[in-house]
This record gives sequence, structure tokens and C-alpha cells, in this order.
Amino acid sequence: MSSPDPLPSKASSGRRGPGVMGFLWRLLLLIALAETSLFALMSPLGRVPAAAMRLSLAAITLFIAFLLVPSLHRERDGLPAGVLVAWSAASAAAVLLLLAINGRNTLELAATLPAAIAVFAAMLALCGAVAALATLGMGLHRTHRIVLIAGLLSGAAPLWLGPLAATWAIAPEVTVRLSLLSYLAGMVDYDVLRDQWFYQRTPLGGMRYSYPPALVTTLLLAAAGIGGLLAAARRDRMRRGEGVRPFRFLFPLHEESAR
Amino acid sequence: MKFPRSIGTVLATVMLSFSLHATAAEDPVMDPELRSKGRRAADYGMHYLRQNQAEDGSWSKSVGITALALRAFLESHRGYSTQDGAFITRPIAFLLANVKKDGAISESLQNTNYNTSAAIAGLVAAQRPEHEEVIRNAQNFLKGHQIDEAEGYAPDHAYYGGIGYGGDERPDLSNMYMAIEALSASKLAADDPTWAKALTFIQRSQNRSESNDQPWAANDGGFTYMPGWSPHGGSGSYGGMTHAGLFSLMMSGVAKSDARVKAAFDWVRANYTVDENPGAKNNDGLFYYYNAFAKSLYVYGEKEIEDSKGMRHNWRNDLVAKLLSMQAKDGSWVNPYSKQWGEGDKNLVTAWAVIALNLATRVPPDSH
Repeated sequence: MSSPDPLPSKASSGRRGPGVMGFLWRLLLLIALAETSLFALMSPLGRVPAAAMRLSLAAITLFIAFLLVPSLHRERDGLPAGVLVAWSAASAAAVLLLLAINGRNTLELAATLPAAIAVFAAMLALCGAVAALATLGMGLHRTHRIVLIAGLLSGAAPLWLGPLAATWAIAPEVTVRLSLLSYLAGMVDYDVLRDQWFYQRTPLGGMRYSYPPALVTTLLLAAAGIGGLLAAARRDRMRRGEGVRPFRFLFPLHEESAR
Repeated sequence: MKFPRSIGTVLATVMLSFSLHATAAEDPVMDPELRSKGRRAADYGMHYLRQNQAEDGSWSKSVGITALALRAFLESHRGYSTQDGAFITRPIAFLLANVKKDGAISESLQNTNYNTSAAIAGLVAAQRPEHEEVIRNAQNFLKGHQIDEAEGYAPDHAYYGGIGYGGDERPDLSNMYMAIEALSASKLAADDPTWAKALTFIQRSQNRSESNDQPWAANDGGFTYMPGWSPHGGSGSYGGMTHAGLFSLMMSGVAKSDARVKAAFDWVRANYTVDENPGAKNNDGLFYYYNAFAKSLYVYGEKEIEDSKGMRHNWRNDLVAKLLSMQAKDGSWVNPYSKQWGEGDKNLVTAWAVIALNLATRVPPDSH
């Protein structure tokens, strides 16, 4: 990546990247943070429906996983696509593991698998967006922040776009389909907009809407993610002459040390 | 002796007018002219619905709206039945095509209770023995979705006994009332525990601290959307929910003389109007109010309501006159003030208005 941003010192100093151990430590940190956040959120609510639990876990895991994307610390080498795909898969695995740790749904693979698939597709799309936007020369860290904010705004779309939907300035369907949270909710089969908290804060709950079609949206998100990664790789390959290392699809964890 | 023909005509006219006058004077519940106009308005409404029915018999691609429109036809003064053709049999086929393995009748995952409740009422109105199994399974589905110990809720939880939309576990009185109407129409046994649990939730939605153990409960006798919360602010009572609550109490077996029913009716008296949904902001849910108003007052069985100022109102006359004034030229109705809760959908609102007119213009069986 040809980033004009000053790189973090450890990345520019030629230190080794996160490596397999760094990857695993991040994964463990992700699981611990997601689990802690979940319990912190859920304990005052008393009993939480299983589908709501799946949704909360998926949303929290996705948020934390995107904050901890390992490749951000390897900015000089460009975005290693293999790491991003592996990290998306690890996030999905973390969701399955967390649901199993919670002691519920451990045997209900049909119920928990969609949550993991949704996190994988959404994570891939977010990473693809970072990779694609970074090729515009904004730098990985700035791009990451922009995509993070866009993701949060998308998740909260029912809250800030809901009043517009109530006046039919925009269709309720559009508002619902713009939201990553709605996508996750549709995947885990939980009508989050009619959950008490949302119902009381957005007029959408009182309207007719449907959640994004699960399979189509999953494929679209995954395709968008892969498309973003491919676009970044192509751009880097074209700019190889400028000293930018090409975007790689191998798992490049030890490549720096081999240079 | 031969009678002059002109005298015979005059006599016949006089006799006819006397008989009409006598009928008018004896109409036990409402102005006969308004009844006639109301039935004609229902005809126009049904004409609109027929014009806007999809090829597969559905309306708005929704099980709930299709079931309500079907009911509007089946319960009308025309006495439509499955013998009348595809406009009745196709919506029934549409409902049956959306029957799920678990008994739900719904085209979507997030409105399963609402849709199933409306579908049960529609299928019951069709009075066909071949639907009995579907209705029984749908009834079991609704019972299974009532919030109780099976979902991990203790009787002291505010949700206990309630039923919500179905895609989550948050119950509300609006969906509860739809479910109660369906369970009652499909003749759920009076000793079924579902009723007692439902009553727990219903009275926790009433602003009556003597029978509501929730700390927020006020004492105006009206009902709010769900325990402790109204979409119109705080936990205040409003028209749509109070009529839904009054209807739910009576259909759950609570006597007219019961203090909870009396308190709800007192709220209706104190807030009597057909010009707005009292207590609601922006006239949200106005036609839901008219629909629930017609149902609850029909079941309550009083011809007139004396408001808290001592004015007597014939609710049938008032409701029919109001609905006549709001009907569009194409026969439809729509909430002109608010699109909230689907009231921008002409099919839904027209179905509600026709059902309300059907009830208001029906002669109650015990009125003679």
C-alpha cells in the first residue's frame, strides 16, 4: 500500500508482524473481550432469549474483531489478504466457541452456524472495504477508522433513519437493509427491531418491513469483501514499480523475517 | 264494489310508509338510514378490496392483511361464503399455502403470532370443516408462544402470560388481543390455562393499581401498550389499547360486572370520541382504534354510552357517520394523519373499516 501516513513505529522499524502467536493472542483477546462484554450487557436484563443472545454475541464479536484486525500492524507490507480472510474465519469460529461456552445452543448447530457465517461475511466485507479504500491513498489506519464509523452508523441506521422511514421519506425496507445489525438479526432469526429496547426508540418496529434475504445478502457481503481485496491487490501490483509490495493472498506471517 | 285504482295506490303507499316508519321506530340499536348507508359503504369498501386483490387472492402480500380482508367479506351483511367464488377461495388458499410445520400461518418470520392470529380468525369465519386441523395446529402454535415458565419466565415477570409479534419475546397488549380474539373464535376450552395466564398479562397492562401489581400503574382504568410503556409517552392509557383491553378482558371470561371491566368502561365513557384516537399522538393507530372500538362495544352490548358529562351517545351511529365521512371516492380508507402501524396501507385500513362497519351495522341477536 502506498500510504502517506506515518507508520506506527513498530511497523516501520521492520519488526516482525504479529505472526501465528500474535494472531492467536488476538483471537484469545477477542474471545475474552466479547464474552466479558456480553455478560456485562446481559446481566442486568435477566433472562435473555437464545436468539437475542446469538445476535448480541455476533454483533459484539464483529465489533471487537474489526477493532483488532492483525494486518493493521503490517501496513508497510500492504494488507495481507490471507490474514484478513483467516481473521474473518477466526471471528466466526470465536462466535461458535462463545456460544458453546455460554452453555446454550451447543448442540443447535443449525441455530448457531448462521450467526458465525454472518460474522464471517460481514467481517470480510468490512476488511474488503478497508483494503479498497486504502488504495485511494488514505492510509490503513485512517481507512480503518472510516470503515469502523461507517459500520457503526450502519448498525444504528434504524435509530437515526427510523424517523424518516416513519414519514415515508424513505422506505422502511431501505432503512432495515442498510443496517448491518439487521443483517445479523435476520441471520439469527431474531426480530431485533421489535425487541423492547429498539421498539421503544425507533418507529420502525411498528411498520411493515422484512429483514435482508439471508443467503443473497451473505453472498453479496462476501463478494464485496473479496472484490475489495482483489481491487487492492490489483492496484498494488500495478504500482510495484513505485516500491509498493504487492497484495498477497498467501499467509504471509513470516515473510518479513525472510526478506 | 270496484275500488278506484288511484285510491288503491294511495292506500298502498300509505301502508308502506307506515310499515317503514314502524320499522324505523322499532330499530333497537341504530338509525336505520345510517345502517343502510353504513352497509353501502361496506359494499364500496369490499369493491375496493376486490379491485386490489392480487392474482393469488392475497392483499399486500401479507397473511395478516389477507386474513383481515377475507374476514371483512365473510362477516359482511352480504353473507359471502366459499360458494361465492375465487375472490373468497383464493385468499383462503393463500393462507393455507403459508401454513408452517410448527402450525404458524405466516409469510414472514417476524410477525408469526400476529399473522397466525389473524389467519385463525379468517379461517374460522370461512366455517369449513376441512380447515379444522390447520386451525387447531395454529391455536397450539399461539399457545406455545405465550410467555410462561416454558420460556423461563416466572409469574411475577411483567412479560408473563403475554404474546408478542412472534419474532422476539417482547409481548404487548395489541398482539395479545389479536391472539385472544383468535383463541376465542377457535373455541379454546374455557378451562385452558392459557386464559388465566393471558389475564395476568392483560391486567398488568391496565392502569388500575388494585389489580395491577406493577409499580407504574395509575388508576384511570384505561390500558397501555405493554406493562409500563406506551408509544405515546410514559405508560398512559389510550383509546386503541383500552378498547383492545376491554375486549380482551371480556373474551377471557371476565364478567361485565367485574371491577376491571367497569374501570375500563369508565375510561371509555370519560374519553368517548370518534374524532380521534384519544390519548394517542398524531392520531397514530386511528383505524385500529375504530376497529377495536366496534369490537369491544359490540361485545359489551350497550346501545348507548353515557359520557362523564352525562351526554348519551349511540356509538353505532357515531362510528358509522365518522367512517362514512372518511371514505375515499374509490371506496377505500386510509389514515390521513399517520402511517404508523401500517395505516398507510389502504388494503389494511379498508379491511379494518369494513370489519368495524360490519359489526356496527349488524343487528345483535338479543336486540329484539
